[in-house]
Amino acid sequence: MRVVVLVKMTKVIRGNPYRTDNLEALLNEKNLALAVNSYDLAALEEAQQLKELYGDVHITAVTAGPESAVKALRVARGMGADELIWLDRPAFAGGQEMELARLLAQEVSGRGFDLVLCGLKSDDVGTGMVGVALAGLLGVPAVTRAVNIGLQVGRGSLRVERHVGKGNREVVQCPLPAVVTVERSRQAPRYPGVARYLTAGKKIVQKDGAAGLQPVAAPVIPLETKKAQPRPKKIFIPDENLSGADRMKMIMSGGMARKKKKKAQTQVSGSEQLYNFLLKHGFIERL
Amino acid sequence: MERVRKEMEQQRLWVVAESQGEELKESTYELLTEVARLAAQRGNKVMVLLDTAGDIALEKMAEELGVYGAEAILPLAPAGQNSSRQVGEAIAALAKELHPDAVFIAETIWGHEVASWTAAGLGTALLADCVELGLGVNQELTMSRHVYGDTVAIKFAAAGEQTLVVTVQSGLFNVKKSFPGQKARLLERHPARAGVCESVKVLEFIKADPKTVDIIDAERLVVGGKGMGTAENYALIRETAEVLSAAVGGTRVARDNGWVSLVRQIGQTGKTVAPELLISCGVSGAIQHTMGLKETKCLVAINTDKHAPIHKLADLSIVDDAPKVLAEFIAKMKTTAERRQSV
Repeated sequence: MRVVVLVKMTKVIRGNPYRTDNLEALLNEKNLALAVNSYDLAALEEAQQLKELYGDVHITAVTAGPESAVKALRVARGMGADELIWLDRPAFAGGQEMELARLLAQEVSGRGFDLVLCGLKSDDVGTGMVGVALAGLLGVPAVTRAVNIGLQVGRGSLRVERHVGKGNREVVQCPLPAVVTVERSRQAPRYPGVARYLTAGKKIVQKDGAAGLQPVAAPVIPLETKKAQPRPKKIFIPDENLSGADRMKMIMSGGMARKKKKKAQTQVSGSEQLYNFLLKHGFIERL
Repeated sequence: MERVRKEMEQQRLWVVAESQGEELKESTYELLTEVARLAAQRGNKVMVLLDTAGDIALEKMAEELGVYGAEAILPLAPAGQNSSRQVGEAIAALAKELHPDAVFIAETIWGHEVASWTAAGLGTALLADCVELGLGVNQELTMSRHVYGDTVAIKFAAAGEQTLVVTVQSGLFNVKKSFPGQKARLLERHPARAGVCESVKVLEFIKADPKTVDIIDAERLVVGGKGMGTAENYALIRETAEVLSAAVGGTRVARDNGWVSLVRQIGQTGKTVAPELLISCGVSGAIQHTMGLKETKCLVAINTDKHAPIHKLADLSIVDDAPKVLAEFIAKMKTTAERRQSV
């Protein structure tokens, strides 16, 4: 089985942006640290687990970007990738996800694949669109938010557990070839092997990533960059039917003012109260 | 038909509504209120695209959404279980014909997927998880989104003629009935579905196990604090949690004493939880802890001190010794379970 894993380096801000006024200096390329996208590490881990389970899995790691992107390939090699492709081109700006997806689609369809694994989104910009757009361009099915990937009997299709919120999972069946975007799971990805990491340089195949693609103007332009404000609190507006005093009280307590509270009754024991309360609100069933 | 099309072309801003049973999600109303505000400033009209499984009363919905600022409602043909790709591609196909300025979707798991498929279908940019919508100097749309782990905000402005796809974080805007008396027009059901037949089949649904689930996701929690006294007493918390199929949480004291691990700590130095039911045992309710409980729907407090601040927040406050109450409660639940079995 040919598995392609898409990896990228993400930018990490050093220091606390809330403590500085000079955001420009903080966002200067020289001051930014780089780290491999954590979701991509999860994708590499899934690919490696497929290899360990089924044996004949050939893993190709692909990245696109400037020189600094190569480290992602080294880590991928350390984690078990067999082939490393570097699409050399300047970094993409915000809003150019579609162009990146086109570039990757060109590369991936050119070499043939059974499964494309990529992170659900990136840690830095994180629109979470490239995987889906790639599936659209390749014309194959896509499964998002995967936490566990396995092959069905006969190996013609995948059995994927996907995270659907609140800790619940949904199991889907998906025919191959397919694109699967991987969610970070509780299981930490393995450490890259040092020997493989260090000798990865010889394995890297450099390709021109700017050729054959028409540059497209991004549909958005960045206007300004500033420190993120903490998530604005939803202002509570009390019901108009309440009296002025009550509304005032509710605004001052931020809507946390409790409804009618049940007074503790001394004659009924605590456990009895608890039991009756849970019963009344439908958390437990009667007999 | 031509007239309808003309009218639809005037609706420059689209909002995709997410249904939940017979209702729409709260985040949809928040988004609609905000987009209607922008539309009023720009002199645009808002169209709501509704993905229905058929059990929504459309006429009633048209009346209701009009008040929030919707000009027209376009029901999409019902899609299957795994609907996001079909819906997204259908919206993209429609947007290619009618060229709206932007398609807005509330950021949920479903919403994000629909948005990705729409943006991919249109070949445009997806601005995910925006926190602020506004207008620029030339009345163009602007959106702010956070990058680098929510530390830096970048404001983008629409450039060119392309349709933008924008998802907006939920819980940021107030729901407001800004247009009382307005009624949205109900358009004919949109029949077009993109050609791709969905080949991904849903096999089963695995419910989260309360013992291992992250407390952020837990629907029920039993939390113990200093008042539990000893590790032996803390075992009662685990037992109660098992009886109620709830997850176990703790305060900082509980963690310091080694009764729970750091991943189960609630509060300032731990996690913020949003369960349906939370039973708080031997917790005084210091602000460092209760700030992690804000989203709790139903709170039961058991504490011997009747002046403890936790009682002010509780839906039911029991002034009693928590280990005693829990032990009795577990015994009671066990006898009921036994009786249930024998019946």
